[in-house]
Amino acid sequence: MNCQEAQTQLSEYLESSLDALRMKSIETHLLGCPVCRAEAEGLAECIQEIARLPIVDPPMGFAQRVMAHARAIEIKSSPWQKIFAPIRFAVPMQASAAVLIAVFAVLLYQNQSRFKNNPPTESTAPTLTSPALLQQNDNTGDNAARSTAPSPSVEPKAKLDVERKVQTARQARGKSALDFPSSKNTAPVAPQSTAKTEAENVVAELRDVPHRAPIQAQEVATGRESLRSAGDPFGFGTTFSAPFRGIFAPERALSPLTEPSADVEFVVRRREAQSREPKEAAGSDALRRRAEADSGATGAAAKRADAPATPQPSSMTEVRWFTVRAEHYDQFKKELAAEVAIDSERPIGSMMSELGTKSNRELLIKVIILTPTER
Amino acid sequence: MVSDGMSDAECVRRLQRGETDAFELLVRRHEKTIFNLVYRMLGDYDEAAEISQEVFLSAFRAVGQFRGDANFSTWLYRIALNHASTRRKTLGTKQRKIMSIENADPLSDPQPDPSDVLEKKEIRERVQSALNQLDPEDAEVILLRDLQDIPYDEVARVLEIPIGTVKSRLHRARRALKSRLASYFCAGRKAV
Repeated sequence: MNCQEAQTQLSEYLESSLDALRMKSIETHLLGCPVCRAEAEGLAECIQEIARLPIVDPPMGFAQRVMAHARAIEIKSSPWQKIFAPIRFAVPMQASAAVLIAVFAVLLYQNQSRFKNNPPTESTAPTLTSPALLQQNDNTGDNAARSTAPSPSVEPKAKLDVERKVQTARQARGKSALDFPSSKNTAPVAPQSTAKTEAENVVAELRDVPHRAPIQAQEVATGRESLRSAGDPFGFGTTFSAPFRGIFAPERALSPLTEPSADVEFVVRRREAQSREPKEAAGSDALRRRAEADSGATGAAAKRADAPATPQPSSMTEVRWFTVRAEHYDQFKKELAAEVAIDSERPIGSMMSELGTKSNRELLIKVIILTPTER
Repeated sequence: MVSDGMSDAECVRRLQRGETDAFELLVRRHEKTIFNLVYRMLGDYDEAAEISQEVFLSAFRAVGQFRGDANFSTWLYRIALNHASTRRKTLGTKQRKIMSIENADPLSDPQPDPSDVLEKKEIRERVQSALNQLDPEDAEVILLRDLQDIPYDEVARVLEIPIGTVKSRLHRARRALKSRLASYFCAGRKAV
C-alpha cells in the first residue's frame, strides 16, 4: 500500500470502519511511514477535539417561546389552510396567480359574448328569486293568504306588490300561467271575463304606481321562452324584419344586484291573432308580412282579416324588458305598434325629447303586455 | 393526549391532525441537539437561538409535507442545516463572535484548575474558529458525524448524498480542519 492509498482511507481507519484486512494493511503502512502517521495523528486530534466540544444548553424558555410562536401561527392560519394543511402543492405563487387571471379573463369574455350575441334562451333567462312569488305562482288559493305570505327576499315592498298583483291577474284565469291560450281551448266564459276585469284593474294600478324597480321574475313566470323563435325578440309570436334583428335586444341579463330603472314604459295589448299557438301565429304573421309587402298598403285590413272569427282572449299579463339605442327608439316603437296595440307610452327615466335622438345611449324599455280585449 | 413516551412518528401524525401539543414534545426532545448543531455551525449563541427557533417554526409550518419516509430527526437536521448554512452565508465576512458561554459547561470539573479552564477555553475557541472557516458543506459533515455521532447512512440521508460521498467529503473536511489547527497542534507538541 502506498501513501496515497493509505491517506485516503485514514478517516475510516481511525473510526475502525474498514474491514480487518484493510485495517491491518494500513496499520502496517503507518508503522513504516512517519508522514502518514503524522497525518493520522492530526486527524485523530481533530476528531477528538470536535467530539470534546461541550454540549451547550439552549436559552431558558426556548421551548416555550417556540410553542408560543407556533400557536400564533396556528391561530393566524385560516380554517381552509388547516383542512388542506397535509395537501400542499409546490406551485409557485406567480404560476397560481397567472392561472387565476387567465380563468377570470375567459369567464369575463364568455359572459360578455353571451350578453351581446346570444338570442334569448331559457338558459339565459333571469331567475325567479322570490320564494314567495314561486309559491304564489303555484297557488290558486285566496288572495288574502297570498298577500300575507312571508317573503324572505329583500326586494322593496313596492316591487313585491306589483309582482303580486300581476300574478293575481294571471291566476285569476283559473289556469296555470305556463299555459298559452290556443284557439282550440274552450276556457269558461265567466272566468275569462272576471280575469279581464281584474287585469284591467291591475293595469290601472300599475299606471298609478310611481316608478318602481323592474319585475325581474316575470320572464320566468310566463314559462313561454321556450316557445319563442330565435328571431322573435318581442316574444309575441311574430318575427322582426331582418334589418332590425339585433337592434332591439330583449334585456335578459337583469340581476337583482344590478336591476336598472326603465327609461320608458309601454302598456300594450296582444291582438287576438297573437293569442293562438305561437308557431301558428308566427306562421300567419309571416304570411301577413309577405302579403303586406306584396300589396303595399293593406296592412291594417290584412291584420283584421287574419283575426279569428271567434277570438279567445288571454288574460295573461306579462312584463318584458328591452334595450334599445336612443336613435332606434322610433323604429322600435313602430315595430312594437305593428305587433301589438300600444295603450300607453310613458317615459320614466328619460325625457320624451331625448327619445329618438341620435345618441348611443341605450334605453331600457319596459313593456307591460296585457290581455287582448274584445272590441 | 400527548405523553412523553410517544414516538416522533406518532407525535408527527398527531401534529398533522392538528394537535399542536404534540409539537411541544418534539421541540423539547430535539431542542438541545438542534441548538448545538446550529450553534457550532454559526459560532454565535444569540444567532443560534434565533435560527434554532426558526428551524422549529419552519418544521411546524411544513409538517404537512413530512411524509414519514425518513426519521423526523433526519428531516429536522436537514432544515437546521439549511437555515444555518443560509445564515452563515449572510453573515459572510462579518466578524462572528464566539461566546464564552462554554464556561458554564456542566460536564466540567466542579473545582477546575484555572490554567486548565483557560486552556480548554482556548482550544474550543480555536476549534470553533476553524469550523467557522470551513466550507459549510465540510462543516456540516464534520458536525453530523463527529459532534452528533450520527451514523454514515443517516448522514447520507440528511445531506441527500450517497454514503461514499459522505466518506470522501468527511475525509476532505477533516483534513481541512487539521490544516487550520495544525499550527496550534504543532505548538502544543513543541510545548510538551
